[in-house]
Amino acid sequence: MRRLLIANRGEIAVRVARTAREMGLETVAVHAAGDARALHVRAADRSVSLGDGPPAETYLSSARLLAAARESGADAVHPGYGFLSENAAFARAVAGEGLTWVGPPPAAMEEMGGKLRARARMQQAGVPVVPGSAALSGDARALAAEAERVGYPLLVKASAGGGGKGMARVDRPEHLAAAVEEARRLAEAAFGDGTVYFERLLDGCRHVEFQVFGDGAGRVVHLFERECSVQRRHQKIVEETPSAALTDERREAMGRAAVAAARAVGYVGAGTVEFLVAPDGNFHFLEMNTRLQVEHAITEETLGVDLVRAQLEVAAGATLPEAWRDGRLTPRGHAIELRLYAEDPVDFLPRAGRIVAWRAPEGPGIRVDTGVEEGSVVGVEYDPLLAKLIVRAENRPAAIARARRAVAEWIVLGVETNLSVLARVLEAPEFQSGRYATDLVEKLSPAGVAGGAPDAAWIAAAFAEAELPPAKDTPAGAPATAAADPWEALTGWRPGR
Amino acid sequence: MKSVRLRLGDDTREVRLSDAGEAVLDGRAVAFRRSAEGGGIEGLAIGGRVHRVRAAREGNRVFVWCDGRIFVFDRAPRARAGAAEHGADLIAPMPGRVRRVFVDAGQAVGRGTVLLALEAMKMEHAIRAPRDGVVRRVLVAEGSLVDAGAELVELG
Repeated sequence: MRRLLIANRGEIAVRVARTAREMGLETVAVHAAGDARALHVRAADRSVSLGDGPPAETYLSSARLLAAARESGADAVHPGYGFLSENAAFARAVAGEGLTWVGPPPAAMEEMGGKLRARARMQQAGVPVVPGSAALSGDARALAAEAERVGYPLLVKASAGGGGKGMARVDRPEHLAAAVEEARRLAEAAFGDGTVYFERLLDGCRHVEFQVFGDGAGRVVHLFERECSVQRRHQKIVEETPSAALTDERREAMGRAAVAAARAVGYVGAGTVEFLVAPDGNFHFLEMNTRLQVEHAITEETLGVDLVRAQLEVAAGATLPEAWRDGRLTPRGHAIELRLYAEDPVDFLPRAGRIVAWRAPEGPGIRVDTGVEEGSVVGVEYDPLLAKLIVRAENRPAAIARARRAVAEWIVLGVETNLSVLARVLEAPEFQSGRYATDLVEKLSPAGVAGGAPDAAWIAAAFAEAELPPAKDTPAGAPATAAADPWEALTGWRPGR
Repeated sequence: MKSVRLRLGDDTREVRLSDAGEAVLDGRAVAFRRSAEGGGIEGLAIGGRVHRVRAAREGNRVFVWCDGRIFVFDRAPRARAGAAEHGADLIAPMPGRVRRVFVDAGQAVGRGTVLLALEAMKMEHAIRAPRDGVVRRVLVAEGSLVDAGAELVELG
């Protein structure tokens, strides 16, 4: 392995390029036309354009990525997360070109790709799954009977779904038939596969995942857990390790189950086994992510390892590092990750814009993995994750204090972000006590601006409004101003008022 | 005195600035001293305390970082005739792609009629008529990208 093509964009492409460089590998970035000046392109030694067009024709185009690999003389492909990272056909195509696929064997990806298939496989392997049904078929009466057996409230889930997409909650039998019909239709439209099934909705659950790692010699280890219960729209925004919810005994049992899950599908490389932990402490397999996770960095920080390095080494045929195999690896301290999203802090809808001012937090125990910088344009075509803040400290209270300090240092102006939501999570008594579940964000006090803004903020805003020249990129439809004197150009300002 | 109107959430205020170091916030005088602190940060000394701020204008908004918190102000134009007609439901609530346009200019619509469908991040958002009326103009085409806050339909 000499030249690595990174088939991704944003912070993860930058992060992979950094480790590759440390290992003496040459790196090749790919980019859609609009990303030509993006940070991830400059993080690599060379870059190849994937052309213009929507994601399906760029970062999601197997053909264009393979052409980019050929054109750049790459001999390995790292998919990052998202895009084609869990696409077995792409993994096969990469291998078919004689390139090294930095990921698990395609067969293992397929075993875990469909939720129903994965559930069946896990049950065979003795890993507990969330109580549920097989693929739904039959008439309304059969459905009703099956739902009764699983128990209400329940979720109708798309077998091909994931990441919070393709599921619907049903609380009462009279809503069942319509919900199943709707779920089938949506699953068919979104995933091209209308297979749906029931899963019992377990209330008050925490979402805890285990990092697993396998090598070509058949060894599989786990690298402890990540607590991922802080979510909005069923997607994580804050993760921490260790989880405050696990006893040593439970941690060991879950670690064993995670390793059994990975072993059952012949897993090689980095993967993550996700569990729901019920209030009674029982845990249930949810799904396996057959790739590097967004939140992998907190594991790196508490264990002092580099998961991307291990991915690249294992892909090149190496066995797992000695220290990982003999149980010497123990977490030190506490790490928290906060995900910075370009989104409305109230309704969580994605936002676009230009980052006109950017200052990332610094100092002891701080790591910022970012895909943006001052001047970056944030579009709507891609995932709105801008950057991740990872803090590490000696213990959980110190890590929370550090995270709060770092959030206050973070200056992101020009596009709305969820930074205030992250601050409120860190301040929430439930979060601070460690006793929280996946409904934490819903239960936070309404966003609003707590106590309003101080006078200084109003004055600073007024100065910016009155003095700074108008932004160059006026929004579409805004009238261009020809006034030479900036005072004349002010919208809403009239002399004498 | 320069005067600007800004909105933060439900709170709209008139802020008048004088170079002499006084601001009038909705009629209340606040004395301050302003200094550059480097790194784009400014100090605003008010009543014996120095607030650290950084502000930037982008589009129709003013973003302010102030002592570790970020506030997003809207530039509030003075009320103008007909402004009330531009209901919030006729502007894009998020940036996205216009998937479908269901109405044509001249068409009469009832309150709640779906005018168009906007898609962002695989979520579809129906834009509905906030009241009965006639579509004066459709300002976007199917497939076009729009920014948050962009006007979509003019309803008469």
